[in-house]
This record gives sequence, structure tokens and C-alpha cells, in this order.
Amino acid sequence: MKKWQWTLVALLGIGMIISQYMDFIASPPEAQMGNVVRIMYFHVASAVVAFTAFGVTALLGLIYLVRKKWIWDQLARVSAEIGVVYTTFVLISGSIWGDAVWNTWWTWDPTLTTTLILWFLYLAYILLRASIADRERAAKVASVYGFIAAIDIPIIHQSVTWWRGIHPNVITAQGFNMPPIMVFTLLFSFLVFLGLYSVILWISTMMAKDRDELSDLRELARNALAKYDERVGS
Amino acid sequence: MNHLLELVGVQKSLGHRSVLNGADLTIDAGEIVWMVGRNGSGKTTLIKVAAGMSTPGKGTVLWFGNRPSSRLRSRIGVLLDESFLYGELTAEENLLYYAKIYGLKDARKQVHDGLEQVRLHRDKHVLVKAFSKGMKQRLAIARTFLHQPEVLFLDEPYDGLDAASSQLLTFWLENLQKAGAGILLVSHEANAFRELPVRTVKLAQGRLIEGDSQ
Amino acid sequence: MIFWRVLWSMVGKDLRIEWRTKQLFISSLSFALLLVFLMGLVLYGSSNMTHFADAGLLWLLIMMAGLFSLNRQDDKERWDGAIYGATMVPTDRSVLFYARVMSHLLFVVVMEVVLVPLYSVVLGTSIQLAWGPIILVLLMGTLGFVAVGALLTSLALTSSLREILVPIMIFPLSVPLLLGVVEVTSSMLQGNWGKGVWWAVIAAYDILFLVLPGLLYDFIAEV
Repeated sequence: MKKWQWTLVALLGIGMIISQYMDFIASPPEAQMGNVVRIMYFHVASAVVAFTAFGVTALLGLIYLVRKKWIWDQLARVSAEIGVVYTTFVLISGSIWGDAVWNTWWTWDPTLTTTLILWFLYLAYILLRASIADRERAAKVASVYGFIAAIDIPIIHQSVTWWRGIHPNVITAQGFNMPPIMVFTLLFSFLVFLGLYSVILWISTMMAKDRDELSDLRELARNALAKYDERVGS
Repeated sequence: MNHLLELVGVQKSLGHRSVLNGADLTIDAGEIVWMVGRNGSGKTTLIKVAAGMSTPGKGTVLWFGNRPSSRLRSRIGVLLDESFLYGELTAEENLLYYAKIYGLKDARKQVHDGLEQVRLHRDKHVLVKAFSKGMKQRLAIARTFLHQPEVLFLDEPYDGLDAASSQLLTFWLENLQKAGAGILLVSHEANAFRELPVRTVKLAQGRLIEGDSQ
Repeated sequence: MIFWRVLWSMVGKDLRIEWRTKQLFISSLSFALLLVFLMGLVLYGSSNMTHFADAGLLWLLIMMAGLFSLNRQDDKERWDGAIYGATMVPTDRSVLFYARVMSHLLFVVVMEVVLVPLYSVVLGTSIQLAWGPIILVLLMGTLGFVAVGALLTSLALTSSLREILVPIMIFPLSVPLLLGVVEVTSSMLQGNWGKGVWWAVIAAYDILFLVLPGLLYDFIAEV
């Protein structure tokens, strides 16, 4: 990594510490929920990352289908994997919060239901990719699937909303239903989480690149050895 | 004059193994190219890519000087290890199905002739899943030649054939070659087509080298 | 022109194969019927079920039957690589998708002809509406499901996890369709047509999954 990249990562680290301070110390407990509200900073920020990640997957998949450049597909793949991890965080933190506030671990609320479906959709994306040996085929198939899944998500959400509708809307048309300090803490955690997402995305993609280069080198070495054996043998 | 087939810098990986690594090949009208190479050197992969069944990672494939398209696919014939036949259909139904797909005129007659030539006319009402390896191969050959393709990809076409069928296949190849077709042939039964004028290329380390030299 | 010719040849071929191997079709149907019977048994008839649960069970059953159909055809196409040979069709490869959708639609509809009346008899479900609307929702729901199924089986074509992966992909993707058809069907059990939005959801879903795969199919048909 280059120097400026290290600087950015260091800044992100500081940001994360500040964010923790704001989540747990600087921001006040909520009037009804008390300290439980602090889960929100983690929960909502994870959701933002998950949605962003899946959006990125769909978009880059589409770019891959047009451009056929390896890098777009790898970024799409890594983004989907991060998305699944963060969706898991959203589901777990949501459940804990639900138990504390709604007195139930799970309800068939539209947002919860959609999130769970999302988790299944992208788990399938990962399985689909992992189970196809041909690199080009895996990339194409996953791009098509990622795109179709992304188009389906709003329809899923809308249909589940019509089907049942108790999730708190912290962001309404009028703006945020919260005191300014909490809004700031929340927005700051968005920023930090998205920063972390970008860093993981970048590093994982670079690792995938190295891995592929390594396997190409292995192939070269194997070929060279085969050639050598052929000469010695004949 | 365009080449019938042209591959430029074709690269293809399967899993983490790069199989083709900048393969170049041209086939002109009236040419039979015999591709040799050790097991697992990627001959089948090269055929799949050249026939448009598989997309290359990098590089270009041109048919008759153009990018592969659905219109041009009707002028290509492919015979792989897998026969592309339906086990639950009879020999005749299989060929009729392919004849309909290619929109052949008097399909019944052509199918009948094809079956007779590969000596399967007596078994035409037998389900293909009951066929022996050799019979299936003969039917697959009839299937490949049915629409008189101008570019042919044949992967081990002599596999499982008896002497008479081998001769017939060689005869067909000769006729097509004289008629100006281009043929890419993979086969280890060199004896079967020794009379044919072939140009040999060798696939090694994912590249094609002219001649059979080490 | 060529497109339609190829499409009809393919559907004709599928029907011929299906007719020839009817014992497979009959065994999947028997299994579905057995499930209906078992449901009747454990639920003690539908008298203690809500209309929604009643309609939901029926649709889950239909979708299971649909999955059988998808897997069965996939196996036959896979025999000696016919499915790979089909990529050499001399027309747009989306024909492979539309031919599959048509064949599956026919198979599943034939199953429904037996399954649905039997379901209503065994579970004592009384339909308070003319058969016309019921048939319409059955057709539209089945069409959407087989369209998604045909797309996903092609996506998973070369996957080593194909048998389990298709159900994992198909059910989350078809949640809007499932909710739509179940809502509409449960309204029909109470004697009305159901809300317009649900008809809209079903229709939108059908259109989306009939058009989109056609556009994207060339990318995924290659192996």
C-alpha cells in the first residue's frame, strides 16, 4: 500500500474511536428506550453498508457484463460478501433491539422480512459463484443474478409492506425524528462504516488479484516443469 | 478473402487454471487442421471457445471475418465428446428435431438419407439411450453433418467407430474439404485419415504452434 | 421467423419426451397428491385454518410441484450434453429460455388440473367464486414461477450445487409473487376478486421475469 492509503486507513481508525465515544458516551439515552437506543448507531449504519454493498454489486455486475473487465467482477463479488456479513449484523442487532423494545426477537415487520430475504438472496449469490469452476461463466452468471436480485428487492419490499406493516421510521419526510446530537452521531457512524466498507472492499479485491496472479504463476511453473520433463524424458 | 475461422490471442481459465494462454489460429477454405496436444492441454476448451459455446476471457474469435452471431451459427457444426442427443427420443426423432431447428427443406428425406449413410436406418425407432457407444457416435456424426456446415469442429470423431464408419467419416471430410469447408480436427486415430491433406498444429502451454515439432 | 420455428420445435420436443416418460410425471404428481393428503391429515381438514393459510398451503404445494418439473426436465436435457448443444441454435439464444418457460407452464398446469380440485376436496375448502378468476390467478402465478425457475436453472447450469441452489434462489426471489397469489386466492375463498394492488404485483412480476431474462439470456447461455 502507498503512503496516502496508509494515511486514510489511519484516519479511519481515529474516526472509529471517535464514533465509539459518541455512540456510548457523548450521545444521550433516549426518552423511552433509554440506553438501548445506542444499538441503533450500529444497526442502522450496518444496514446502510449492506444496502450500499448490494447496490454496488448490482451496478458493477452490469458494468462487467458490458466491459468484461476482471476488476469490476471482483469488486462486485467482494462487495456482495461484505454485504452478507453486514446484513447478518443488521439481523442480529435488530433482534437484540427488538427483544428490548418490542419484547420479541422476531416480528413479521416489512423491513425485517425484507432484510432476511436479502440475506438469503445474497447467500445464494455467494454459493452460486463458489460452485462454478469456470471463472468467466461464474462472473457472468453472478452479474446477471446480482442485477435481477437488485431489481427484485424494491418489489419484495413493497409487497411485504402491503402484506404487513411496526418498524420505527427514524427518517421521515420531515427529516430526522431525533435530537441533533443523536442525528450527528448516527451520520458520523454512517461515514465511518462506509469508510470501513471501502477499505475492506479494496483490500479484499487486491488480495483476490494477488491470488489470481499467484495461480497464474503456478500454472506457468507447472507448464515449465512439464516441458522440462518432456525434454529429459525424450 | 476472409478466413473461415480466426482466433487471436484467445485466453481462457477454468477455475484457477489458465487453460488457453494467447492461442492464435486461422483456418481457410478447404483446410483441415489437425490439432494435437497432450491430455488436458485444453483442446476441447479451444474447440468450445472457437465454436462460440464458451466465451474467451481475452482475445477474439471471428467466423467468416465476423464476430460470432446467431445467424452465423447455422453455418457451424460441432461434435464433442458429448453427443448433444436426447436419450428419450429415437434416432429419427433426434435428427428430425435438429433438422427442424436448422429449418432444412424436405427434412424427412435428409434425415432418412443421413440415417442410411451411418447405417442406423434399421434402428431409427430405437430410443437413443439404448444405443451403444458406437451407434451414438454415428448418430452424433449424422447430426453434425446434417445441416452441411461450412466450418466444422470435431473432437475425437473416430472414437468408437468401426472400420466402415471410419471410412465413411474420412470420405465425408474429404468431400467437405474439396467443397471448401474448414475443419478443425482433434483425433488420436491418425491412421484413419492419413490420406487427407492435414495441416498440423500443436497445443501446448495454452498456445498453438504450427507443426508437430517438440 | 427462425425464432418461432426453433421455439415450436423445442416445445414439441419437450412434450414428446414428457409424454414418453410419463411415469416420471405421474410419480411427481403422486408425490404432490400424497402431500395434499398428508396436509389434510395433520390439519384435520381446513376448518381450523384461516383462508390465508389455506391459500398459502395450496401455493406452496404448486411451487413444490413446479420445482419437481424443473429438476426433471433439467436431468433430461443434461443427458449427453443436449443442453450444451442447444447453445448452437441458429437464432437468438433467448429462445432456450422461452421454450423452457412454455414447456414448464404446460407441465405444471396439467398438474394443477389434478391437484387443485383434489386439494379443495380433501381439505374441504369451498371456493366461493366462479372458476374463471381462480384459473386466471393460477395461470398468472404459475407463469411467473416457471419464468423465474427457467432463468435460475440456466444460471445454475454448471454449478456443482445446482439441485439445492435453485430452491435457495427461487423462493426468496419469488416472495412478491407468492404474497400476491396467496392474497388474491385467499380473497377468492371469501368470494371476492382480491385487491387490485395484488393483481398488479402478480402482473408486474410476470412481465419483469418474462422480459428481463430474454434480454440477458445471451450472457448466460454460453457455457
